[in-house]
Amino acid sequence: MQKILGNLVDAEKGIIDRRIFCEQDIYELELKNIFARCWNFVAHESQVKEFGDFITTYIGEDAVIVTRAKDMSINVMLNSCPHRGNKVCFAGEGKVRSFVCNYHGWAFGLDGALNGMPANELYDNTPGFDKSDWGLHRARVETYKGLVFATFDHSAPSLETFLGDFRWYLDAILDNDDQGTEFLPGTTRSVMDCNWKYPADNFVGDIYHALWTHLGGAEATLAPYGGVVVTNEDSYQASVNGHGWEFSVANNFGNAATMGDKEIIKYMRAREDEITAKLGDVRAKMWGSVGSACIFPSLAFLPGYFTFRTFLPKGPNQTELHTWTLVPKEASDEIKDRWRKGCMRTFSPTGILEMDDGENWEHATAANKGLVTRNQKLCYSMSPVEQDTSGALPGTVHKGQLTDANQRLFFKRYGEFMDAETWDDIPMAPITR
Amino acid sequence: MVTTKEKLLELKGAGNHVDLATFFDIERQMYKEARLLDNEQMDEWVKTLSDDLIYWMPIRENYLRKHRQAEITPNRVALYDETIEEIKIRLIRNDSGMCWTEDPPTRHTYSISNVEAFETDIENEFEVQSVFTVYRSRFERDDNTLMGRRKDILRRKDNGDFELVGRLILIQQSTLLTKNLNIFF
Ligand code: FES
Ligand code: FES
Ligand SMILES: [Fe+2]
Ligand SMILES: [Fe+2]
Repeated sequence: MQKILGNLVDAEKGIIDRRIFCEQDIYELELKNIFARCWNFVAHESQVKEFGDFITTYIGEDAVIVTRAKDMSINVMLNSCPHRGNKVCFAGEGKVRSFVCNYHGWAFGLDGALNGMPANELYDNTPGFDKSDWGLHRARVETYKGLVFATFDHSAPSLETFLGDFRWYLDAILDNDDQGTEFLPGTTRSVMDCNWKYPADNFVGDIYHALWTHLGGAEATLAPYGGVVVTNEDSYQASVNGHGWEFSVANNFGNAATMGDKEIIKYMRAREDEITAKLGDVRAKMWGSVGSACIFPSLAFLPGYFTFRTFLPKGPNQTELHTWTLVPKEASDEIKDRWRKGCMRTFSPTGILEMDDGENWEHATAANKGLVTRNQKLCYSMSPVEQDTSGALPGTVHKGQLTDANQRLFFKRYGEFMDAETWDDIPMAPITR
Repeated sequence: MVTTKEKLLELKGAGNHVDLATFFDIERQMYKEARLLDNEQMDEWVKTLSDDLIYWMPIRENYLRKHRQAEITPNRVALYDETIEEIKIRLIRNDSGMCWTEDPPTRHTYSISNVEAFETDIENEFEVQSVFTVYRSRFERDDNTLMGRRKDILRRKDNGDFELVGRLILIQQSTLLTKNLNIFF
C-alpha cells in the first residue's frame, strides 16, 4: 500500500485524494491501523450505572459488550463466543448476571470470564483445557469524566496521553459543575451510505457548511434572531492529536439557541457566572456557543445541543450512527426533557439540521463510484486568519472558526496512523495542562 | 381530557368496535390524510391535527424478553415527540425555500391498512389503529420503504370533521436503515 501522508493526503496544502473515501484496501487498513489501535468511545458511564448493566456496540466493525461488573469495574469485550464464534449478546442494552451463548450454552461473567458450560465433564479428557483460556476477548478500558473508551491494542499509550490537552477543552462540557453529566436514556441508531470520514471531518472543523447547508433548517428556529451567524471574529479552531473543536467565544449560546427553546437558554444563562468562575471565560462560552468537535477518529459532539455521536464504519460506503443526548446531571427533569426534545428536533434522523447533512455526505460518497471522479482531488485548502501562538489555549490553535485548519490536522493525524507500523511511530503532543 | 404519552401506551383495542357508519367515516379520514401526505399538502394536513395533539414516534430497542423495564417509555429519546406548535416549527424548514436537499422533492406513497376503530370512554373520541407502508423514492435510485403501526386517538368535532388528538407511531427497525425520516406518518 502506498503511503498516505504526502501522497494521498497533502496536509499542508489541504489537497486530499478521493481514494481514501472509497477504496476497499484503504478501508481495511483503517480498521487495522486506526480503529483496532485507537482509544474508541464505547459508552457513557451513566449507561452502565449499576452492577449487571450492559450495552452492546462496535469498535470498528468488531462487536463489543460493555458491562458494569460486581466490583463496579467497567469491562469491554468482544461480543463473540470463543467456542464457535456466535454472537453472545443480542440485546442493545439491559441488565443481566451473565451472558449465555445460544449455540452450546457457554456462560460468561460480566468480566467476560468463561464460568461454565453444559456438561462440562465432557472436557475432562481434554489435555490442558483451562476455562480461563477461553473467556471473551477483553479490551483495555479507561474513562475520562464519564466517557468510557476502550482499545484492543495493548501497546497503546494511556487514554490521558491519547486525549492529551484536548481534555482541557472537554472539561467545558464534562466538568463544569460538581455533578458531571449523563446520557438521557435511549440510543438512536441509523445508517448513512457515506464514508465515516465525511461526518468526522465535518464535526472536527467544518462550520463553513452551516452558512449554506443549514439555512433552511436554521430558519425554523433562528429566523427571529437573524438566521445563521458565524464569523471569524472572536472564534477559533483548536486541535490536539487530531482531535478538534471549532468554536465561537462571542456568539454566546448560538448552538443552544438553534434548538428553539428559550427555557434552555435561560438555564444556561443562569449558570454562566458559576461556570466562568470555575473554567474561565473561554470555556464558559464554549459550553453553548456555535461550535462542533470530534475526538479522533469518530466520536463527535456539539456543544449546546449536546448531541454525542459515533460514526461506526460499515465498509467504505456506509456508516452507522449511534447518537445520544448528554445533559448536566444537576439540571431539573424538566430541563433535561427540553434537551431531549431540542436535540431530537435538530440532530436526529428527523432533525431539521441532521437531515441536510446526511444527504450531502451520501452523495459525496456515491460520486466516488465514478473511476475518473475517484481519481480527482478534494480541496481542504481554506487557510486560517492566523495561528494563535499566545499560548492562552492549548494545542494547535488558529484564529477564526471558518477555515479548514482543523480538518487538515485531522487528515494529517489520519495519515500518521495509517502509515505507522507501531505506536512508536505516532507523535504525541506534549501535555501542558 | 388531556392526551399524554402514557395514554397512548394504553391503546390496546379494548373498546367496542364503532358502528359501521362511524367506521366508514374514520377510514375515509385515514385515506384522506394519507393522500395529503402523499402530495405534500402539509398546510392541509396540519388542519387535521388538534391543538392538544401529542405526536410520538419512539425509538425501538432490542431487550431480552426477561428485561424488567418496558421497552417504550415517555422519558427516552425519540424520533418524534411533538406538540402541534413543534410540528409547525419543523414545517418552516420545508417552506423556507432554502432546503436544498429536498429539491428535487422526494416522491412518496402512503398505504394505510388494517384499520380498526374502537369506542373510548369519551363519546366523540375513538381509538384507531392502522398499519402504514411508506415508499420513498428520491433522485435517481434512492429508495426506501418504512412500515409500522399507528395507534391514534381521533376526535369528531361538532361540525363532523375529525381531528387527530394523539398518535403513537411504532416503527419496527431498531437501527433505522435509512439516513433520515424527512416525512410525517
Ligand atoms: S459457539 Fe458459543 S457455546 Fe458454542
Ligand atoms: S460546496 Fe462543499 S461540497 Fe460542494
Ligand atoms: Fe442443530
Ligand atoms: Fe451540519
